Order: sequence, then structure tokens, then C-alpha cells
Amino acid sequence: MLEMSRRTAVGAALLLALGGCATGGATQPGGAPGTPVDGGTLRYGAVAASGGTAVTDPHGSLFNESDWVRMGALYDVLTVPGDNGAVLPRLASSWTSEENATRWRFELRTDAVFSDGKPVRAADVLHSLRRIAAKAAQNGGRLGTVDIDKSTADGDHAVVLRTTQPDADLPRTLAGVTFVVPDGVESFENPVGSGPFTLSTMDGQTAVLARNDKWWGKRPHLDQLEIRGFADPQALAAAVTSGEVDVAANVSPAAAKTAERTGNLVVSRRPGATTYPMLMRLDKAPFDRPEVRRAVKLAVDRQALVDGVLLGYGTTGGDVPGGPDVPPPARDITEARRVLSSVGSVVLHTTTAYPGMVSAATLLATQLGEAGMKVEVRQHPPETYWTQVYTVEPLAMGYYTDVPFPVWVRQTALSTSAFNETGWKNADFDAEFAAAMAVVDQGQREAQLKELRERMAADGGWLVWGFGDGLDVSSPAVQGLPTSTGFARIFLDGVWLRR
Amino acid sequence: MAAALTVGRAALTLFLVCLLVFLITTALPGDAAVIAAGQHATPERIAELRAALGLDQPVWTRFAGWLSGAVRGDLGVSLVDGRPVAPLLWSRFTATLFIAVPVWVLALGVGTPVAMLLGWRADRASSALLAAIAGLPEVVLAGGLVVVFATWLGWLPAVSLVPAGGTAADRPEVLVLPVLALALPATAWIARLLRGPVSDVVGRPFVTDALLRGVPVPTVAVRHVLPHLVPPLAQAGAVLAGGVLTATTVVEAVFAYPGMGQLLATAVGTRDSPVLQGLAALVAVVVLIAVLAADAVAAVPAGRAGAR
Repeated sequence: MLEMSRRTAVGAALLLALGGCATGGATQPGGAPGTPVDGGTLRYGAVAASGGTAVTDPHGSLFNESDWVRMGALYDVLTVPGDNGAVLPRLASSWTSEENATRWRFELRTDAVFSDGKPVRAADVLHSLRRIAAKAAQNGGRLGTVDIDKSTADGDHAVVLRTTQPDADLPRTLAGVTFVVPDGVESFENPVGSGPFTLSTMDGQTAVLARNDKWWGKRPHLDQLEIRGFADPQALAAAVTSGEVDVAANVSPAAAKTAERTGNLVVSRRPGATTYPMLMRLDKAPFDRPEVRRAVKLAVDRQALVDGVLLGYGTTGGDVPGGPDVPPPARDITEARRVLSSVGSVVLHTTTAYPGMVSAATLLATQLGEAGMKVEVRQHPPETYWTQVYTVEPLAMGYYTDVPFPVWVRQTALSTSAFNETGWKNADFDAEFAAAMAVVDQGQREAQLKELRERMAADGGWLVWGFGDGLDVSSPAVQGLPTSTGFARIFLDGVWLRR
Repeated sequence: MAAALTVGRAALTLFLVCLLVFLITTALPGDAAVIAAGQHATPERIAELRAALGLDQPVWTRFAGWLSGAVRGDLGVSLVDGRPVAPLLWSRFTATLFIAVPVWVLALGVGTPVAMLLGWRADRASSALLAAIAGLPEVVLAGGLVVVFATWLGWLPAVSLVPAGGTAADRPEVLVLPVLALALPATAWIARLLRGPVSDVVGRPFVTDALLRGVPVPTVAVRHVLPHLVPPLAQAGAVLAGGVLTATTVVEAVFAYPGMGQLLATAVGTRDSPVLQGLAALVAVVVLIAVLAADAVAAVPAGRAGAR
């Protein structure tokens, strides 16, 4: 997925003007108050930064958040993310693994039907998974460790997936992304899905979907779902402020803060959606010295970063992805200065790809300067940053979405990773990670992973100072927006409108 | 012969515009494969995508391929979603015309009388005011209009959302603010441009003569002054046609209006070169037609003016 840089400040200013006079803060929706009522059309706005048009193929590049939400409404997926790292059944009613979690059996619901009336069978699931695998280059390897050539259908209502390596976390890797289309279908202009909604009309920007009364799940409360893509995040914010849409999904902290100040919009938060880590290369001076990395971690004021960069919409982090459960070291500026004052000056590279990456870099540079290390911030355009600067320079900013921790490790923290963003290459770590991923018991696996994460936090080159919330701005009538992490955000079948 | 020469020159210009846009797109950092592959893409994945999209071909091969398709009316497919460019361009172009045509008509229709009023009795204050309005950035003007007419007065929508599958004609009120944001500076620009010519004409003997004969001022303006303004008016109209088409980019972004300007912005962002090429060719064709038409119009009254 890809987002585009925008001048948030201008948007915030415009929003301030739009909001008029502020009348106190809005409330966070905890649980949805009141009893859900049926009916109504939800007008849902999301960023469509990179697509001139809406994409119809659910298995290729999905640039636009608006496309993701439409796919989540039209198609069923095997599993969806739940709260706190849990995985919930969807089209797959249950799953089991064998042979050190290299062989997975997903039992499928027997009551799912496509919108053309045909039942959903294992062959459809396998066809869909094959398409996703074939388009790995476009979709960033969405299937993770699945070895699609060795995966099979078992009868009409079970698929057996093989993985290239033990992967006890496979159901979570697949959560929310395995859109199931009918066997043999390669064209999606008139989509046939088995999801909670069906397509009524669609043009380049807007899709109107109607409730699918044949869906197997709990009947959605909404009659209609209108999904609109906005090329410009500022226009999206203006649309929700002026009541032209009911929800503005995934807005910037500045836009959320401004919306909250209007007093008549609600901000709902999904924890841990984005992270802007600072990456120190272990194989490049001065960060090849463990004491320098440690001093940097002692020097930063994490709460100030959460307040300044995320505007408070987030939590502090303990220098490793995967959640705030690993505590950061206590700030010790004296000790940090002892080491850092002799380091000299360094350059912190960042990009305008995401507004937070620049503000985080600037604030980090100031904080490290206070601890005696002179840091110069250098900005790069997004087109060249990820290929030429990131993973190359000794000190650079990174960007994480909330992919599951094991997926992140395979991408970037193993000796075998295609690119290793901090140069963390450790054969023992590789082996222990592989061992942990073969542990089927979730509690035991997570304990083993946490131990590895604590080691990464202490010795690694990651400065994960905080986790930013995913922010949706909505009118107070909108209830039941997703609050779980990851792709849970694209499933809107539980939303209802208060009258 | 002259007509053949004109057409030949126009075709050459069109070719050069397409070539230039192609070269500039190629020179931009990153390409569609890098952007489509995303942040955590391996070099192998990027290479695979590049091959699939044909971006591994030499620049000249790609341009020749595009050109040979374009002359046959095939503008290729988008690198983002693989869908044909031509229908996409057409739908966005017609959407933009909903803004561009009213702006063009307003600018010429209002700008000309304003130029006459001000040109008749030149004063510095109005000249400065026109310069100020003509120089206003559209984005600032659009923001101001939204604050006044959408936020404070609540008369008009702050964003120009069009019903799914429909056009702006289904909801004409969404066009008012975008059109105003473009028409105000365009009108001021026309008025400013024509004021000088108006002053010139007004000072000439046949106008003074007509006024002395007791012909009412409005009649003099229409019958004696206006015909002499046709050549500069035609030129200004041609330039304005190109200017309005490009200026919609900013206004469409502010109002989230799904026209050609937004398509341009997103196509640059994704390095979708077939879409960019198609857009450039389309705008170039419109401007060329406008310029040729202006030349033709300007050639007609030149003969009559001498007779006067």
C-alpha cells in the first residue's frame, strides 16, 4: 500500500477555518452506545492517493484505501484480525496445523454463496490464493510463507496450505487479505463475491454497495455503503467536516485534532497502526558501536515525540515493533551525553513520503542535539528514498504499518531477508526465530518471540519511539467502526447509523 | 497549400509536445514499477514488475510503441490498473469541461465588458485591482470561497462530490465554487489584457466622430469598438483555453472534483506514463485547435477594419 505526501499544515489550517469556532472536545466512542438500528447509507471517504481510477482486481496492487474497503465489503476472506493479535474466523470456520506448522488445514463454511447464487467451494479459495501468489510482485507478497504449488483443496469445504517454512502465525498473516473470487474468474468489472455487500454502481471515485441479504454472517445494519476515494487528504478532511461524507478514514493526526476541536465530529482510534522508527545501521559508524546505539535510546524523550509527532494519538514504544509491551529504557540524558558528545555529527535521512517521517526526524535531531550529538536532517523525495537511501545510509527514518511481527522479521530482520534495514544479521537469532515460529501453542510462541524482541530492543539498531494510532473521523451518528489493528479496519459490516 | 502548412506545423507541435512529456516523465525519479511495488519491495520484484509493464524496454522503443498506437487512436493501458486510457481520459475530460467551459465563457463574456468600461476611462486604481485579482493563486481563492460560501453562509458544498455513476449535471451546485475560483482571476486577466486595446480604439477618430454624431455609448461600444477587439480577444480566448484546462488541476484537488486535473496529479504521482501521454496529447490538441481557430477569426475582421 502506498500513501502520498501532503502538506498537512495547509489542510489543518483549512479545516480550522471550515470548523469555525471550536466548542469543546468530542468524545471517544468506547463501546457503541445504544442498541444498533437497521437502515441508512454510510458515506465512507478514504484516501485514493495513487489511483487515477478505482482498481477492480482484488489480488493485485491495491494502492487506494478506498479500494481495500470495497474489497472487504464485496469479498469474503479466510480470516480477519481481532483485538490484541487474535485471529477471527470468517470464510474459514476453523483451522489446524500439522508438521511443525508447515501444513495448514482451513475448514470452510458450508453456507457461503456467491452473489450469482453458486456456493463458495475450496476450488474458489484455491483459485483466489493462486492469483494472489501469481501477483506477489504487485501485492507485496501478501501470502507470506504459503507454498501455493503444494497447496491443495480437500473436497469442497477445506483447503490444505503448505508453507515453505514453519509458520505458526499463518492465519494472522493471511488475516483480511485473502479475497475469494469464483474459480476461473479473471475479470472483475462486474464483481461476483460472497461478502456482506454487493456492488450497485461504481465509477472512478465512488462505489455504491447494497447489503447482501444472502451473506452467511450477521446481517449488516446498513442498507447501503457508499465508498468514495479522495485524491487529496485535505479534501477528504473538508468533506467530513462539511458533512458531505460520514466517515473520513485514516486521517493525519493534525486533521484528527482539528476535527476534534470542532466539537461535532468524533475521532476513533485503532492502536498501533503506524510507526516511524529511526534506523541505525549496525554495520556503519558510528552506530556499529553498541554503546552509541544504547546512548541514542537513552537520549530520546519518547513522550515528547508521541505528543509532538502523533499529537498524542499513540503510545510510547520500547525499540522493537510488535507492540508497546516491551518497555523502553528510562531516559538518562547524562549517560547519553557521556557517549554521544564524542561521536561528532551525523546525518539523519528522511523522506516526505509521510508527513510524520519529517516531523519525527526533526524532533529526534533536536533531542539528540541536547544530548550532545549534532544531527543534520536531510529530506529526500519518496521515489528515490526507499531504493537509494533507506537501508543504505547509517541513520535513516523508516515507516511501519501494523503488519504482524513475524512478517516484519522475515522482510527485514533475518540474515536471509532480501534487504535488512539495520544490518541485523545473526544466525542464532534466525534459528531461534524459526524455532519460535514452529511452536503451535500461541502463548508459548509469543513468550519466545517476546524474548527475541527484548533482545532486539536492547542490542538492535531500531529506535521505535512510539506507535501511532490509526485515526478515523466520523459524524457522531456513525457507530461500530472497526477498532482492531491491521486489516480489521476495512471490514465495515458491523457499522450502524444512530438516528 | 497554406492550410496544409498549418496542419503540418500543428502536427509537428503535437509530436514535439508528446515527445517532451515522455522524456520528462522518463527523467522523473522512480518509475511505475518502483511505486507499484511499494516500500518493502525487493529489487527482484521491482525488476519483475518492470518487465511486466514493459518498462525494461529502451526509451525510444517505448515512445515509438506509444506513438504508433496513438496515431491509430490506441492510447494504451494504464500502468496502474491495466485499463484502457482512452475511455478514462474521455470521462475525465468531459468532467473537466463542466468547469472549464463556464469559466471560459464567463471570463470572455464578463471580462470584455469590464475591459470596455475600464478602457473608456483609464484609472490606476482599477488597474491595480485587476492586477491583484488576476494574480490571486486559485488555491487561495478557492479556500476563501469555501470559508465564505460553504462554512459561514452554508449556501454551497465545501467539496464538489458527484453522485456515483453520474456527472456534475446531476448536482450543478457543486460547480459554483470551482467555477468562481477559476473565473474570477481569468476574468480579471482578460479585462486587463483588453483594456489597452480598448483605450486605443476609443481614442481613434471614428469613435469620437460617432459619439459627436450622438450615437449612444452602448451602441458605439458594440458597433464601433468591439469589432476591433476581435483579434486580441481571439488570441486571449485561445490562451485562456489552455490556461483553464491546466488551472483546473489545483481547483479539482481542493474540491475533490474528479476531473482531468486530478487525473494528471495522480498519474504524475504513480508515473503512469500512458495516462500522462494521453493527457498531454489531449491538452495539446485542444490548445492547437484553439490557436488555429483564433488565427482564423483574427484574419477575418482585419480586412473590415481598414474599410472603417
